[in-house]
Amino acid sequence: MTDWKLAARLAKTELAASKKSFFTLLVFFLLMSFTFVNSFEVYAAGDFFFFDFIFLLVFLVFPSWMKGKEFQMAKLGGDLWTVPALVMLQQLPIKKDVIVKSRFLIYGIHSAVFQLLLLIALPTFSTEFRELVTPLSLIAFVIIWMSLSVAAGFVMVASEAGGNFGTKAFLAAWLWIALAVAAMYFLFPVLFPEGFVMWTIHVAGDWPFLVIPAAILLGYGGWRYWQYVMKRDMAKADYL
Amino acid sequence: MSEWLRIDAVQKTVDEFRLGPIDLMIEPGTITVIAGMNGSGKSTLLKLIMGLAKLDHGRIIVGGKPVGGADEDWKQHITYVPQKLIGWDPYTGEALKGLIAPLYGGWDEELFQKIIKSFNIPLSKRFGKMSPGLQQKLALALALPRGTRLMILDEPMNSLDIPSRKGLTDLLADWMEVEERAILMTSHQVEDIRKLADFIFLMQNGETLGHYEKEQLTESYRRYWIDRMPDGEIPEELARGHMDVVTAMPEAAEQYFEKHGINVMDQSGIELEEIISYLLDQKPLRRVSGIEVPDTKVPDTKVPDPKVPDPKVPDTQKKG
Repeated sequence: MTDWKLAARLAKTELAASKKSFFTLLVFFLLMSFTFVNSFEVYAAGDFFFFDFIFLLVFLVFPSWMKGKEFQMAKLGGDLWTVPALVMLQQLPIKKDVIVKSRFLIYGIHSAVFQLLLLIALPTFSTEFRELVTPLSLIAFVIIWMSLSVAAGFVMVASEAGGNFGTKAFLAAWLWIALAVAAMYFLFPVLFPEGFVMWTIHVAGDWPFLVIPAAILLGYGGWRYWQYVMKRDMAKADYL
Repeated sequence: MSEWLRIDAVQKTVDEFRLGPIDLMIEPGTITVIAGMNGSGKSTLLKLIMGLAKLDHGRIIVGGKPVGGADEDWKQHITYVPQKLIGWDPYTGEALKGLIAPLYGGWDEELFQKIIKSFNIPLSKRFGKMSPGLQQKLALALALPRGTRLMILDEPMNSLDIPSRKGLTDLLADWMEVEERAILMTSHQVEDIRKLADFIFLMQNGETLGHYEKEQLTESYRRYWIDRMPDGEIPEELARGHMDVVTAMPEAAEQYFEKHGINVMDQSGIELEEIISYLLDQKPLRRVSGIEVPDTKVPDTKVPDPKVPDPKVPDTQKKG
């Protein structure tokens, strides 16, 4: 069995066992799509911070946060934090590389399906959004956000490798998150005066032939890089 | 290759706990039971064998390949059933079988069905919804048919009821009938050790206390009822009662009795449980004739109370 084939089988097993959270995620993303479609007019008029913020959360962290409790990161004794599946799979004759691939497939399916749903809902149901894009720029816009989801969002799946984290490490992590949100709050209005999502719409419209390959490259780089990070962190962690 | 598992000078520090250095070799056709007090490092050692943590020092070789190396094929040779099954909760027995069985070329479906039937395991139930005993039975039903050379079991009998314990003991004995297999298991149950073990590996505070061949160990400890108690210590004396004395060197003790004109009225072997208790309670150890024995006397609490009749000694002999 090739690595990817085995990884797909492992992913299928977990996805079949997590049907409930898959449906929860579907309902959540439908609600999100409805919210974005209906608030896009307000966003386009200039009230953008929370739209940008939630839009980024949808692409970066929600697929991981919305998974069922049994499939999420948890403290598994001592100071070990990881997803339970990772411990289970390492006790079976499965190469670490295949485990990583399976985690990426699971996250990819959890994120891509629903994110695409949202990206399709916007031009389909929002007249304001439709007026801003052409078929080509829409394709570029979708590719930008899907690539961004991989390049930045897949940090969530890489972090499933977990590790041995004490209170200090947790405080440091929360401090970094707080700093990142603060930086976003203060820097985004300066860097993207019309809002970050709007900036990507414009970039997709102005330079589609430049943006599409660049985004694909970014996504591919992220796909490879986060797999490397996960493998590295798995080698470092003590699953005791 | 003469061994399925080789552990060389393995050391690991986890917070305040230090494991090792541990040396251990598991040969085909043997069952080794790791015994020790709670927190002695038994489960940690098993997890290190499975490559679940980095070694600070030493190496572990499974099927000729180093654990933790780039080649992960060694995992094909091991079945591991931990004490706590993490990550299994969301799956039904059927789903777990679907996940595990195809990973092993030698999967024995017939054996799996036999175990499921004899333990009455509902495969459609979610693992997380099963009782601890049922979970353990399912874990074992999914372990034995894998047909690997080495099986590592962490307290496999813990949650099992009495009939299931017997059933599992029989299954393990059957499993071992296939040549070139070996079992490494931890257990607190003397009954398991007595019935299953060929070797006993004792651990204490993360260190090796001794690696014993079970029969040799039990034969090395004897209790003698004697007509008078000598003033001095008999060779390798471990405990002394009113009329009885325990030694870890029976032959030398018998020579001592003869030399000092002491008559042996009766003698008996020592229960394995008692031997293990002696060994686990005593430190440091010193090696005598290839067998490790406690260096100091057993505390008085271990000495049999002369007021309490010993069921092993016939009344006539007690009087005599």
